[in-house]
Amino acid sequence: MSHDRRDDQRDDAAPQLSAAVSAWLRALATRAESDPAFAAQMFAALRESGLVGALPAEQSEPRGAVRRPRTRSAPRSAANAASEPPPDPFSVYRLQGEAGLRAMLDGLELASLRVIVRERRLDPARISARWTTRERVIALIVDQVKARANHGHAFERV
Amino acid sequence: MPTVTSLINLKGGVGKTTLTLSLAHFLALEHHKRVLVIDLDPQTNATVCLIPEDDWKVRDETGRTLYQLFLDQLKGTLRFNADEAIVRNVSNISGGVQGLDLLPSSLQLIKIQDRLTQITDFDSYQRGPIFALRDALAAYLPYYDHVLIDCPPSLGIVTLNGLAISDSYLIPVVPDILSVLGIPPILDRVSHFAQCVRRNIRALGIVISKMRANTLLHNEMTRRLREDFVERRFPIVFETIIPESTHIAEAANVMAPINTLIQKYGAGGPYEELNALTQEYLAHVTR
Repeated sequence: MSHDRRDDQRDDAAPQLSAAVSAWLRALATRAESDPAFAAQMFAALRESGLVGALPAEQSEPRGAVRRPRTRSAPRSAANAASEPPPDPFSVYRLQGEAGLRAMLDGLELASLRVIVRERRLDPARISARWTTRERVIALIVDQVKARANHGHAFERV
Repeated sequence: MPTVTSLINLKGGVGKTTLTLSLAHFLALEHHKRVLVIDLDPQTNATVCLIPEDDWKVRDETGRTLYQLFLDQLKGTLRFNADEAIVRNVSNISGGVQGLDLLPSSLQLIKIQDRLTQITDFDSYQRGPIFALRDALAAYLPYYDHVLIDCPPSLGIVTLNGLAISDSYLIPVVPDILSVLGIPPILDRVSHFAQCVRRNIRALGIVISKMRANTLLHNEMTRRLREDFVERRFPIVFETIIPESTHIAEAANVMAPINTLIQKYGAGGPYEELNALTQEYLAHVTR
């Protein structure tokens, strides 16, 4: 097969490939907009690939994706974390189950976890306010989200 | 023997369960009393405010709720075992409150309560399972200082079982037009029942709950209730008034992490009022 013929075939397939890639990207964008946890996972993968450096600074963090820094040298301030809308743990649990919820929470700073606890009133007595480890707060969120999401299930078949 | 008090109103949503639970908690934690909560309401709300609903489900499926007691009355069986049915040290405060026990209800009571009524003579109470609860708990009641019974919004056979072991009853009301309508029928019917079963069942008083102090209606109805006490021989209206409160509503969540009563009911607000109500209750029952 000559070089020219391969180019011709590429030109013929180009409209189909463009449509397929566009459809895939649209589906990806739709999912990312409706699912902050998914967006966070995609962003993490993007950053791992190094492609994120090509984006302008203001576009380099997806909405709702509050990722925990890997080093102590650049901690996120509580104010910054609190100013971003936290992901909806109930949506994540409903769509992805407990494992998905834990994965999403594991990518969040302690300050962001506290925002979820406060805004969803998962700890009205605020006993978690003095907790200093992310693991305890994550366990609280998971327990409370599961309990509320499953509330009333025992009454469904009597 | 314990002081046994039923919380009754023919209207739902007036705070029967809320007051039962808060009195039980304050008696157990602030006054170190041994308390048994008996949930007679088929809605099972008091039950699932004290134990997780999954635990209740398992108990219900294994005959360890009041459904089994009343089912036995219909079938002539003897499967209910109070010792197994009573749940010890319940509540979400610190993983369970020492001395606060629960006899759980069941949604399944809805299925059989009409059949129980059919075998009861409501004029004489000579027939029907009026004393099923009394007989089942005879060996266990002496262990407690206080027994609080959360009654369904009716005066059917299930409620009468509670009254048959009661020394007194409280009438929670929301100070609005509809909630107070049920008071005279309760007074009449309980009085009639007490005479029939030859038991002194004292109307301890009316407790105003879910008060919205910024509304003219609630203030006016509260004033009228206090005047009716004088003019129409109503039971006294407790001095303490329980406000409508998000804290109290959230206290129903048995899965919430809580370590103290103040955390459960909120300092400076409902906690203070519920504490005062408990002290007033103790003053009345010991009078």
